[in-house]
Amino acid sequence: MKDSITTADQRMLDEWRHGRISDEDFARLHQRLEESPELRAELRAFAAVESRLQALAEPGLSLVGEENSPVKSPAPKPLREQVWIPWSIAGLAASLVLWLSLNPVNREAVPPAASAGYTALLVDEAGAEFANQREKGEVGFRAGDYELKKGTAHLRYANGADLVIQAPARFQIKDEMRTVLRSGKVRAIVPPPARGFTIETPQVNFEDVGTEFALNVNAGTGESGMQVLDGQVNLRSKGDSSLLQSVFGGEWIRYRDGLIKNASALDLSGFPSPGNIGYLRWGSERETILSDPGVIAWFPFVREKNESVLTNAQRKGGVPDGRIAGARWVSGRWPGKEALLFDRESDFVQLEIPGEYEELSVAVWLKVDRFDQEMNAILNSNGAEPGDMHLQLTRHGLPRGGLIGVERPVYEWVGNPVPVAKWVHVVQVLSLPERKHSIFVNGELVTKTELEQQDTIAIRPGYCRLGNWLTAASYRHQEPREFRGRIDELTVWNRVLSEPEIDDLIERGRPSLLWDRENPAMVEPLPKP
Amino acid sequence: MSDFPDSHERFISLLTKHERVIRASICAVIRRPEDVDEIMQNVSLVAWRKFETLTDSDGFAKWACVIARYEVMAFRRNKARDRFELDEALIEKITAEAATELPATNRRLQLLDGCLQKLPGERRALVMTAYEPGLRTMDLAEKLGKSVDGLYQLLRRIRLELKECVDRELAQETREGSAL
Repeated sequence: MKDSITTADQRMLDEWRHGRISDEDFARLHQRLEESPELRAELRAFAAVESRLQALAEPGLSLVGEENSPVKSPAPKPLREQVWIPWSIAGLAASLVLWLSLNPVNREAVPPAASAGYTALLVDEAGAEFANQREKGEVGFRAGDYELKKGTAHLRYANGADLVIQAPARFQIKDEMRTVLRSGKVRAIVPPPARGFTIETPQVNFEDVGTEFALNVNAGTGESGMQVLDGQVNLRSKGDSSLLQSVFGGEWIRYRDGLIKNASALDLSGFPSPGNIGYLRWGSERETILSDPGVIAWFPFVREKNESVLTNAQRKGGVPDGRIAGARWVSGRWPGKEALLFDRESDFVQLEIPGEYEELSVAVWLKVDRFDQEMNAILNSNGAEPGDMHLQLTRHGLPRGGLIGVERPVYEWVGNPVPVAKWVHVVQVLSLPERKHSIFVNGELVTKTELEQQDTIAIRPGYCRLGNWLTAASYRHQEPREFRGRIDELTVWNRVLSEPEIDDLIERGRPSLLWDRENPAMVEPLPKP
Repeated sequence: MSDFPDSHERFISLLTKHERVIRASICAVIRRPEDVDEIMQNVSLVAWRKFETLTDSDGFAKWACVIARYEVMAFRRNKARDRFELDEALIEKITAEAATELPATNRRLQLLDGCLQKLPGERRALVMTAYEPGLRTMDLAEKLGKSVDGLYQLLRRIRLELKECVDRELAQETREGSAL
């Protein structure tokens, strides 16, 4: 039933509801609604979302993460759900007015997670599973006992201190300055406002007066091992908090049964940093990606023994490994992640995507160093035969692509270009049945195209070059199109990706917590394609 | 009038119970929240005036949705100032279909709360803030340092995500139901 609803329909519905629709699209939407019972049901489904959001949105509501979020509630206004209360009735029965004021209609309980008072928030995680019936997606942490059973969790306290916890770990949050680590491994990063942040262990307390340390508590013996990565940590006794020893950057200490022991340094590989979490999370998604039957190729950019091979981890899709020519292995989005650097005219990866497709989606994580050419190829079929696919960036960073031989009656840029020196996620979505070609940058629709009606050309990427274009004979007079920058992931689906799916990909692959999806707008007005 | 308080309480109780689904049916054809508020107010008044003609309380939601349909039409004829309003025949179709699927809509609204919980904290905070009455997208965008278009696109994705989450949950329930 859903098959007949297109993403264009969904876009028009939303644009209509929010007064952003063009006259032309409104006429088209109206016509589609008249004809399609499925689309009318879709409209009602969207309306249900909107009406609920309208009813739930109370001014002054405290929301999870609000203290760390730029979103603040405006000054209180009358509640929407009270507006319609039939005042004439209320006038007839004062007692019911009182009843209504105590039990406002539709003032339902705010979802439990939407209340304030948290000591810390989960800001990132990789496969984290907590005991204590914490639900997946629950982000607030109040004072209390917790057990991390699996994965890695990054908590940020209200004072700005960061704690990265590696499972298995048991801990108790006392308040924003004090946490008890009963067992497990943590890395603490403490900014100046949180100076004095203390981790208590069964036998001794560690007070941070610097910036970063790693701490391990043995579940069986209670022995603790701590290494200061930067700054200073004071070891204090459990009883009178007297200073036992100060430990400085690069030093380590072990403590057991009242004794400070000389021992070897900690193996820091077991103490992930916030930056490592992204890589761990991304790595943990491997099975999810490979089990998607729509994925015909996934190049995770892992350097093999034979460094000229770009491995396609999806072995079922019939897409062979790539051959690296010139491009060099460098670092990718996170420490430990590899990427290929394209910075010479002859750099590229030769790929082959055999077969014919009605729909195709291509997603790439890339970081542009500079735009040297009029067109800068991300992934272009060799030559220019009908059905060949192009995905490239203009000198302005605007994505441009499509299919050779298929005209585009509508072609416009509606979003912000790809900036230089920033990791971005670029997705090209092609659908011949829907006659649509869209390019998203960090989930935002940037290039909007309608394809001409035709039934002779299929999508046939065939032999392609990543980061370059093997020019067709008829284009030999044109400028080369080599890409200048890094690419560290490429995925190809034989279907259309939905916008929420693109959002998921971005969330899973985002380079860091501080990374902002939004890109700067062009200073100049958008050029015509 | 001696039985008035009982009748009144019963009315308020039914309205409280079914207000969400009535509002959703209006929202399907009227896009501006302030217009939905006004129509909802009219529906509640008319429903109260005619309440004594309702013989079966179980049919309250459907009955109120019929009133809502007429109120939407009346509003459209007398007060509508929306450039992008749907025509009467289409409103009739959409609202008549809505009246046949009230239990499903009710379930959809219930599931939505769970889906809202599954959103990452910042996205949930953003969408809840964006729907506060009287808050203009332009002002919120400025506060967040985003472009109006960028903010709209983000909110659109969140709405789509919520809708698809509810679709999935409903499909799951249907599968589980048919497996039993």
